[in-house]
Amino acid sequence: MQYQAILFHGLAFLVIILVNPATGVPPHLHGVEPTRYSLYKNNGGKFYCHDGNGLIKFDKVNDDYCDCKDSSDEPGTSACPAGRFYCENIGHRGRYVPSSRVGDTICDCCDGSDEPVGSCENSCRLLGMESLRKRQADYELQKQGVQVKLRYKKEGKIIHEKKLLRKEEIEVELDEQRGLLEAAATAKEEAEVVEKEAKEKFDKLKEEREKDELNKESAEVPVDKVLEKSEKKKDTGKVDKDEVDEAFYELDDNSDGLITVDEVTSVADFDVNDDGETTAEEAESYMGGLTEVNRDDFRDYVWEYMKHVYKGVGEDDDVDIPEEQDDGEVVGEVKETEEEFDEETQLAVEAATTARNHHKEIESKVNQLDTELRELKKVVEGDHGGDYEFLPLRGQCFELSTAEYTYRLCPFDKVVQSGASGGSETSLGRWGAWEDDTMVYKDGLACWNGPSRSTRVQLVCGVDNQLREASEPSRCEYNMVFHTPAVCKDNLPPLELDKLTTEFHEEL
Amino acid sequence: RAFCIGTQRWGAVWTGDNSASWEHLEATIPMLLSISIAGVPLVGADVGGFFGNLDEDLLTRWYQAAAFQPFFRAHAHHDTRRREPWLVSNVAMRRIRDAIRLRYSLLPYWYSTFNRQTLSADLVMCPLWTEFPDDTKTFDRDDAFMIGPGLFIHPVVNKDVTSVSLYLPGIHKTMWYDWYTGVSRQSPAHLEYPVSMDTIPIFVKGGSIIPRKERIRRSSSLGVSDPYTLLVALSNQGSAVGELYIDDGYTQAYIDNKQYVLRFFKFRDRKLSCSKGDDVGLYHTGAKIERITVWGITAVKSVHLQSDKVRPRELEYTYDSTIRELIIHRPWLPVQLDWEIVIG
Repeated sequence: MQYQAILFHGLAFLVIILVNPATGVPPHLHGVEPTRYSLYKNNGGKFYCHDGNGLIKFDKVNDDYCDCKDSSDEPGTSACPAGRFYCENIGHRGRYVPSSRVGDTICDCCDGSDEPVGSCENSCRLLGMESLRKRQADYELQKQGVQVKLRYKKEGKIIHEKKLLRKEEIEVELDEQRGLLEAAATAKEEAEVVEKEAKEKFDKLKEEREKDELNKESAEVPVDKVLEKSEKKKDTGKVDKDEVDEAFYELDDNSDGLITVDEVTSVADFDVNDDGETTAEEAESYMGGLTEVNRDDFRDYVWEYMKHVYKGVGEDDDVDIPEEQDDGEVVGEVKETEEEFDEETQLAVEAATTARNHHKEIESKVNQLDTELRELKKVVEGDHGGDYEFLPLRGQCFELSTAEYTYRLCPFDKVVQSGASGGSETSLGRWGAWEDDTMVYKDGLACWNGPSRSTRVQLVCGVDNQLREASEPSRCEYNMVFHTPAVCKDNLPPLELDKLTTEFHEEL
Repeated sequence: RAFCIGTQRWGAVWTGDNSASWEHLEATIPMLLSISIAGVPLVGADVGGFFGNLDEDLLTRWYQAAAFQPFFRAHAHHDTRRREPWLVSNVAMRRIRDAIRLRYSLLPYWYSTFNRQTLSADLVMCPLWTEFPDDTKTFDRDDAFMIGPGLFIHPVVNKDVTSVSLYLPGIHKTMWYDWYTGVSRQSPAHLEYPVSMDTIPIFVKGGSIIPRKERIRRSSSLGVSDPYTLLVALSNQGSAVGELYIDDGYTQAYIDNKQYVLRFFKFRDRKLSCSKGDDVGLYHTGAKIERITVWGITAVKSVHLQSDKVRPRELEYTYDSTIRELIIHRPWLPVQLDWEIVIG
């Protein structure tokens, strides 16, 4: 490599001092690419327009007047609308510019040949060096990136195979479970038929019995009903008293018949401002300003304050505290009145319930497997690169923060945006499909009067994974640039220094 | 829009927040004509319409129409989809670019017309009846208009049309030359003029001389030294007049220091002459004329340049007798000097 570099620089220097581009070319060849000189040969004093539509005198080539319909007679002037001017740009790369840029005071060629001699600086050598440097840097970058990419490919392959295996496993299991589900469904249906019949039979008997009883004792019924009601009332009162007592018992840590501020501050339920600590003030606010309460005070008014927040120590479920005590109705959970069946019917009911639960169990297992299978299919059947090189990116997310927003890209999943200081996320699109080296995410949150937000993510070779740019070039259509080793080119030919600039084209 | 004293001298005016619709494109013409005859000449409408999105056909037709309206500017609401010409399909982009280039090539004519407006309040964008006040058929028409005394435009403002019904005005047998072919028609004439998506119906009035710069540049300032092309469209008396106003295109020196030049062109009795427009202008320009096209001239046998200031000589030309078009090649005549071309 070192030797080549020296050779390149040496030859470049040599060529530059030997050729003077400014005066080297006769006027009729001005703006003509050297490989096309043969098209501008003097044909016995004549010139054929290249499209065959005209024969003109040869001295009309580059005479600053457009004679040919196809603009071929004026490569080196701005006279024709479709002319093309070739900048030789020795030291850098030759290129074409539209002939309309000749003589417009802007230096379009780095060698300045599109403008009068002397009006432009020759920047070709500098640009050539810079271009070479960039090419070499890019080459190095690709090389480095490819090393990582190789690793990705290996990882990706492993992931893919694992998922494939798992998919097959699940498919088998799913088949099995589906079979079991069918059987359980049948069993459930049968059991329910039996249950239904048994219940109907029982209900019928009960009806007949009740009819008999009604005929016998018609006067006593209203009293019974009143008794039932008052019993219910007593029940609720009893429940209430029990609860208050239970709460007092729980809060009275040292069991001295008094609830003190200290005992209350040890309970998190009374933490008013949710700062993780129940302070003395907070405790007292629940104790009606008292520092210690006895059982009567507690029951008479302190419990009124506390019952709304006190969840009970050591209890798992929320106890629905009855709020209305006046009309004797319990508001909250309704207990199913359990009827007493006869033995036969009871067995039928229990059997049906067991069958139902069994069916539900299997059903939920089937759903679970189904969901897992769908996810696996996405991984196994998705396009993660010909060698699975993008697969390791799945499941990761990459963020980019700007002054206003934080963007997050989760490859093959979604793109979201949130405010720079936190806050809720806005969907900028869900994974759609590839378009060459661009990932397209679609169907994000809809814009008012506009499209659903969508994002195009351009992938660029980089040594590590980084979300580098985010912009919104058109309303609600986002563009991002993601650097990743996964798109580095692994089959680049070796960098041929000698083919990079025009001079060697002719010299070697 | 609201105006104040002085708007007509300094203001560029647009018609406000219009919509991206064919109806609004069509409406630009009568609206701009109204403001023009009220005395405000530099007027236009947002190209493409301010509110809403539009398809490529409408965008193309809008650029084509607006290229012939004095204030030429594309503008839209922030929430619309982007519609810059380089973001549309290649076909549409080419057509829009052609319309823009056509306008730029006519900037010398626009500029000279605006100078005339400054001096004598002549209209820049003119209703047909101002140029042809005794042709009553023009009174109702606001689908076509003129730019200066020489150019007639009937923009296509409807979707998917293959022709437009246009009317070439003038009850005294005015010659009208088709911009694209040079073929002439005598007025008054109703035409079913065939159009494609590339066509902007334009006619040159016989009797006008239109100065143009045909070289393509990225901006008008880059073409400051470019040569001119004169388009001479003869009336049916074989005559034509036109003028060319030149200043530095940039500063107020034209008014502070008389740094301008006005040149007259006159064609009569088969002679084209270039002479001074006034005795005031002091600007010096090295501008040349690289091409002269004459429409409506018969039987050309020779073209001869006469002058005290320029070397007299025979000029090279091509002549097509079927369409009566003479093109004088590369005469390279200085605009600033007096000369005469005699056509034999």
